[in-house]
Amino acid sequence: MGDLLQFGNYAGYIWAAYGMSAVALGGLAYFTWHAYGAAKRKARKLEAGE
Amino acid sequence: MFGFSNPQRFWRLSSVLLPWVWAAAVLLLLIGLYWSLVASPADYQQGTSVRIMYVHVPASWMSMACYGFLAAAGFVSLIWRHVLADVAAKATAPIGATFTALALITGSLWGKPMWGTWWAWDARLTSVLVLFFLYLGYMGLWAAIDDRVKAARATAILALVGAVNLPIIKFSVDWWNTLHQGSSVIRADGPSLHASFLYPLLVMGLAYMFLFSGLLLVRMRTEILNRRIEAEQRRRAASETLAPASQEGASHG
Repeated sequence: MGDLLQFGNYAGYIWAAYGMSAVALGGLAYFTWHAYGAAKRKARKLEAGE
Repeated sequence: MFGFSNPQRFWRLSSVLLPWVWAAAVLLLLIGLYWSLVASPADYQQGTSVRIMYVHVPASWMSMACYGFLAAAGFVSLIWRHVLADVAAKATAPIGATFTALALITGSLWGKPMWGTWWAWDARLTSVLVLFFLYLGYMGLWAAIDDRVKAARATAILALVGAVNLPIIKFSVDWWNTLHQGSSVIRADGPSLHASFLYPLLVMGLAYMFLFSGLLLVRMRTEILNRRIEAEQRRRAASETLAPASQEGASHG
């Protein structure tokens, strides 16, 4: 795991690229599942006649 | 094939597929990240900055694959008017836009140390930027038109017109003299990358593909649910407005 930090002069660029990828794709996955959960809750409420 | 275009059949099928697709995406991402950040070697010219390739190239592949899928779904929607094709196309756009933005950003982060610049107006970079704007335009058009049928037709036409950009992106490095290097994986004479770089790249590409599939299935299910909710709310509102009228009619009779 020590290799993870041995990126020399490129460390900033590498971590920025992986970090932004994680934030963007993780964020998209979070909002996608969040919207799905909200829609499911709404549908369940409607079915229950609320 | 169109048997799967039935929303109820899609719902059942996607329920079965969803956990497997997400499990494959997470597993492949973990393997791919370990391989690309730890186990793969540094390049003799690029040094460790070559590791950016493992997130940049799959994002670029997916940006184009998503648009190809979007255009195909638009075509099916336009010709056969399949509801599920509209749903699939609409669900794909934000995912494709995210992959395209990532391709541009990570490419820029690789370009600065390697080329000495964040950005160059060369044919490859510019055509990918156009692709990003096409995604934004597509999503904007869906949001701007209230009538769902009209929105589906307008966006399908935009998706099909925009598909002309895909071969331009792919062959831009061959047709013009670009700063961006030529293809090294998808080539007629096979990949020119050494196996130690190629395999982690392919694993990351596969991980992104499964991630796209998982996101697409969830987004499509959300869209189907929202349409059902909307239809049910409309039905209830209509029956509520009809009920007093019929009671009134009965009392007059």
